[in-house]
Amino acid sequence: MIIRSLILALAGVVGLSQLAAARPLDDVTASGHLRVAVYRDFAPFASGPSDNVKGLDVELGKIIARRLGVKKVEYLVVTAGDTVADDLRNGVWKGHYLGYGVADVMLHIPVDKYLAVQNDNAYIFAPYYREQLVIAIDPRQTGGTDLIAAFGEHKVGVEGDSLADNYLLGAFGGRLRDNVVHFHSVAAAVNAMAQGKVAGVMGLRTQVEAALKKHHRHFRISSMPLPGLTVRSWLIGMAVKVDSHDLANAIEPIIETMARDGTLAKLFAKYGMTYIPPTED
Amino acid sequence: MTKKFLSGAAVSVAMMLAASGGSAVAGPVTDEMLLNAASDTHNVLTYGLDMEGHRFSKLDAINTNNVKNLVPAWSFSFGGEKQRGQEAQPLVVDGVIYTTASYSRLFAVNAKTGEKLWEYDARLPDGIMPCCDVINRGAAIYGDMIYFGTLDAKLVALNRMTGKVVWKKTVEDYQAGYSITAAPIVVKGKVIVTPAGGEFGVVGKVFAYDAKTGDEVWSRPLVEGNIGTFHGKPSTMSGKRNATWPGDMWKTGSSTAWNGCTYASDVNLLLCGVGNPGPWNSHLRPGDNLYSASAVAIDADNGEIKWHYQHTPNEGWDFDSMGTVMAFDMNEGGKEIKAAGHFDKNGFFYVYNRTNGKLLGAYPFVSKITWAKGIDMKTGRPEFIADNRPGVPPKEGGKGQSVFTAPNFLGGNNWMPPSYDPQTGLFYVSANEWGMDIWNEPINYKKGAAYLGAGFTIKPIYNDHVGVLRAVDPKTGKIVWEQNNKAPLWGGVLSTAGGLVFTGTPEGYLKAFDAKTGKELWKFQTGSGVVGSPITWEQDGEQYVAVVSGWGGAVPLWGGEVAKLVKHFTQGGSLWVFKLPART
Repeated sequence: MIIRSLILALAGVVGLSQLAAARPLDDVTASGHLRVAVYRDFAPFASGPSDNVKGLDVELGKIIARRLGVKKVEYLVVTAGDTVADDLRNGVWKGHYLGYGVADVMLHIPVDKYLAVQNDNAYIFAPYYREQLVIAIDPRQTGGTDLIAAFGEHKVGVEGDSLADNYLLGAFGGRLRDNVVHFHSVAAAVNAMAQGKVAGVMGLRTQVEAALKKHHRHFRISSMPLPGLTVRSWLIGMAVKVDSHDLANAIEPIIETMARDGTLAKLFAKYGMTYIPPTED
Repeated sequence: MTKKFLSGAAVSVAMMLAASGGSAVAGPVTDEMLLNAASDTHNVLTYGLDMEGHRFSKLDAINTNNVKNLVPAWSFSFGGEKQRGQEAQPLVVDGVIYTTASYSRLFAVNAKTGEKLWEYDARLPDGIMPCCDVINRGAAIYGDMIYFGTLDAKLVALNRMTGKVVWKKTVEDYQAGYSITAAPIVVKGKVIVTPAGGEFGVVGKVFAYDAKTGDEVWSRPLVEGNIGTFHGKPSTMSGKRNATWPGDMWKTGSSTAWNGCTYASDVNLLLCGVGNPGPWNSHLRPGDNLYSASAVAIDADNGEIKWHYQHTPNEGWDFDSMGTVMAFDMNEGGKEIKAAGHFDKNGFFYVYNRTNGKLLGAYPFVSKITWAKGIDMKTGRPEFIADNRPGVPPKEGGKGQSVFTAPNFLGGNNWMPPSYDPQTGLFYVSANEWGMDIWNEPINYKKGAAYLGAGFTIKPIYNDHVGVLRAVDPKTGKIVWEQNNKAPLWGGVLSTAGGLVFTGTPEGYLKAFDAKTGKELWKFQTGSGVVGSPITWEQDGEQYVAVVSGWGGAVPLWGGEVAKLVKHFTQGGSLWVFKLPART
């Protein structure tokens, strides 16, 4: 006990980030704060300045902390690397070389066996929703057709360097390529659709829906077939450092309860997004 | 830093200059001095030692006979908690050494005693996105000012006597993924600066700022189809829109000149090496994708592109062409040819005519190249081996076939500048012999979303070495001598009239070799890996050699089998200065 209080006192002096190594449950509850990693510039899940980050993942982190019985929550805002493997290294098991420290738990990590096997320094768990790739269209511009071929004639917006971008640039031997318009975010692409600059937007369902919330009702999510697209949906969960299993074990039932009692569905609805439970495909 | 400290520093520089007894004339550095930098053995006035970047010194007091006696004169620690990679080349003016260090720091040190005169630490915001370590490669000097770029993509001009900031300009937005690590150069009163950046949406540009005022004079985009600026107004388009880029991809084509430019004064051209295009998968951007993976010659006065030569059209291996493009004169059959040389990541050494970019020769300088059979001298284009182009759209499921590719994405030569020795007529280059297994991942994830990416692992080609210091004849491409090094070489090269070639190793040594035979003549253990570029100058009748030490850079950030070769190297951060012992 004496040693622990000494460490806490020290934390007050040196600043928490210096001592922020990923910790097992006991250390988290004793410290009274949970450090949650979220992605930078990732609306509607986490966006805004580092000291005032907002979004669904930010709220989720707060709820997890509260239900763990931890009073304080702080956020490590992670700049996305080339792949999630970089983010796991920077977020939970090693920390970025710029010295921001690591978080106890990182949100928005895909739950995928292949990813888990390749990243054995982290433990990935607790899927909290299913993400999907969708296309939203402006039927007034496309003339109401629900075929991907419409984008042989009409412009389609994507977030640059995303799966949607990759798919549309390569689809049908590149026949849609000249009509793919690149944006820095799905929200920017949806704004362009509202201005009639693109007839459709392809991207993550959550981001497309959240962006559509403030726009015309006649936009809709199309159920058009997407030939050649091998990955359509995946699970989103979270990760801890591999030796923080007991923290994961404590968080897992919290997420299960939130899925069951409608907390998650309510949270998604608040941002204008359909909640797709992790159980559904 | 307090005012008190700064004025104290100013006094100490002035005192020191008074005490140094006129080994060099104190005063503003002029255009003429920069253009004649190669003859000024008392100073090291520019990155590359001269504007062409030859990294050759006319000094011969330290030579093949006595280099074995070389000993440290002093060593200076950068201090603080900040270490990591030290890739800088120091400058020397009027008895003061100026060097940049990791985390965008700049130091002024008394060249005689190793005492610190002043230090400038850029205050870096969180959220900076350096690609590969927090390195900086050097500064530029002009007038009474010193200039360097920071990791948050700012160009800082300081009074070199006081270390006080005169002006500071935002070159690009760090939040969009830009940073600056290259050393600027000053050409006719303009600071030439070249930001880096690997994020989506980045467009490479070369900028020229007025050295006195910090006003932007011109900018030149390096992705074909973008429009440059001249005195704040749109100037001309780089090339022709959609000629080599499909759709709107010219708006986001990456292609940064992240390792800087050299200057060929006789043709008034900046010679800039340009990085790889984005996105990574070349199949999604059919076309040559100019000016990625190219050498580009830019008029220093107005930023117009005069010629370009593309090493890897429709680049798909991460073969940046940011390696130094160096003007040199080649005598062939009694005829003087205005040439330029460049070692590319892709494994070929190119020699072209610097007046028009016409290819004169292309020779492999590493032992294994799997992506091309050679370079067609008629068309100047590579003869691609189609099966070795990564990123073929994956078939259903599975990891996909793994292909061994050499060189790997870190390149046969990377950023590390070679040296050209006019006495031997040879280029000396830090090369690396390595490849990579590359395959299509069945699924990859990026920022919480599925993504189609490639997986890779770096592999050495030989059991006993990756690095090779090579002497290459630019007339024939013949490798005249070579010296193996176990770990990958990652530092710049210096040659001298004393018949010596200096370079550092990640194992911590600064080494000297016989420029004619490659025989190792001297080495010194600096305590951490050497990935900077050595310099030499004379002061009070003695020749000095200096290099920064501090292991880091891109190599330790990547895994694979090469990681095993380097993981035990410890970090550091210091400036080492050597000289011959006083005669007894």
